[in-house]
Amino acid sequence: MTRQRIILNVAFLPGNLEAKLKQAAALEFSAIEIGNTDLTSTDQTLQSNACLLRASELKVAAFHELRDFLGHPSHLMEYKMNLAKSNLRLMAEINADLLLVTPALKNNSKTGLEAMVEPLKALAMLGTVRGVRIGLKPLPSSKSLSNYAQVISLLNKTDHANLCLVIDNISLQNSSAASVEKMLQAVPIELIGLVQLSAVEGGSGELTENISTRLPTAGSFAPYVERIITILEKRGYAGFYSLNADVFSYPTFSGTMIHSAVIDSLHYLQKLIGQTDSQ
Amino acid sequence: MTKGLIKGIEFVEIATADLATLDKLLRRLHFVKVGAHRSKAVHLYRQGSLNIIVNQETDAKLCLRNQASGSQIKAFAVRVDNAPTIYAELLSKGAWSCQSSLGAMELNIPGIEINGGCVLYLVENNHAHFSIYDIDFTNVEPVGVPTEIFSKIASLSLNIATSHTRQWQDFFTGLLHFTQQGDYLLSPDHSFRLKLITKQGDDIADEGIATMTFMQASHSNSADNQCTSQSSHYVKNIPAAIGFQIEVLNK
Repeated sequence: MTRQRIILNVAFLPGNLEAKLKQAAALEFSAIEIGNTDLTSTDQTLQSNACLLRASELKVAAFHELRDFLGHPSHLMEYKMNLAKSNLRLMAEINADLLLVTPALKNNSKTGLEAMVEPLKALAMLGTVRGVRIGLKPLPSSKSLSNYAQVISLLNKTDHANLCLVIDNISLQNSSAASVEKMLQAVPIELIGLVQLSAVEGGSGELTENISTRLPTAGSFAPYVERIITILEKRGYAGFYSLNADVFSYPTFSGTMIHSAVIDSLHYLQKLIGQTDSQ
Repeated sequence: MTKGLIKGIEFVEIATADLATLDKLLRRLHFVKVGAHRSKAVHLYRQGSLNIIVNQETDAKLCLRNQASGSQIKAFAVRVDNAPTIYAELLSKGAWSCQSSLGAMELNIPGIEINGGCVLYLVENNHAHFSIYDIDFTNVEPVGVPTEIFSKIASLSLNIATSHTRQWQDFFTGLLHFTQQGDYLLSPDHSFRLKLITKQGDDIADEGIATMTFMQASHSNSADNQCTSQSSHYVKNIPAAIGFQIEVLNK
């Protein structure tokens, strides 16, 4: 059961989508996280990639992401909504469950939390009809949604069952241990749609937009991974954990080496979850 | 959507690949055919003020689970004041517009998508001035003596995938101002209810409109209405090809 709850973000795997799906299947994952660039390769059309996904036995648990969505003035929101609809249509075609959404970057962030409620609610409504849940996560450089307290506040204000929180351990790196602990203990478990886990390339350092990440393993600098799993498992979280890494994390790795890296990460997470089961 | 602007159900639309079977059922329920579409395989049935549109067109039949035979409720229409304004407002708040295949000079009724690919149409509440059916339908002389055994469409039951019930509750309450009333969602004007029925599984392909519930007319008694059994509110002996149930609420 634990094994089925760990999914793989295929973004960092080498090759085209077909190759990635084969690798994920060979690693015995039943569900994956995919991104825009996975579907828009140069050697296949969007439609043919969508067909590949439907034909594979892999469930698309999450799709990243609708970037730069919240925090724009109203005259830009119509354009953003049309982009959102395109994303949702695509997700419905590939039977994806969750669309990840991030706010505007610092330079574009013009609006406060209150102004984000209506567009977020509209996005939740659109997703409801397509059977796609909307998962929100903060962006450290965003003016209005840079941390989890703000995201949770926005979700509470918007108050729509089709909205959920995406916890990304890397986004927690600059938060204090006390605030992370408090958030993990207080957030309603049913509000969590996905937990993304990765390690920081090269050890600890200040969280920047261009931080490079690798798969989390024992001994890697993976901020808060153990605390997240310990607390959420104890509280009854039954959703997915997504193994994440940057696209260019393993450029010189052979297929066998990537296979080993994923297995190491998988075992690490299984052990952490198993330790919680036995407590 | 401004609260209180829904003024009841105008019509229910049934897609069918088997008109003969559906026609037999509707006549059994004392609906009579009163109109034929000017250019399409679409028919208007009526009982008192209740309207049922039967659609045999190819694009309508796409919603049928069995496209060789069978009938499915695919849409219902509500009366509203100022349909264009409300339609625009719903689209801005997260509704998907529903494209219908319109011919030249045909009435353009705006609609939004709801569960299972079904449609909620918005019909201008303008009966005092003209009937919307006059534009698209020619009159058909009804066969037999009109009998009214139902007074209104009291509710519609919607099949919803397991994990989506709360989302659809928020959809109807947040977008269309229905209110939760026990297991039902009550329309803003309190004239009808929606019931969300949770189906096993998460496949939204199984979602749709499952049951149409009529209120028995006050002058109708069980001797006239041969369709309802003493012990059940559901109409019995509905052919298997009919992909929905009919329920009757006794007054």
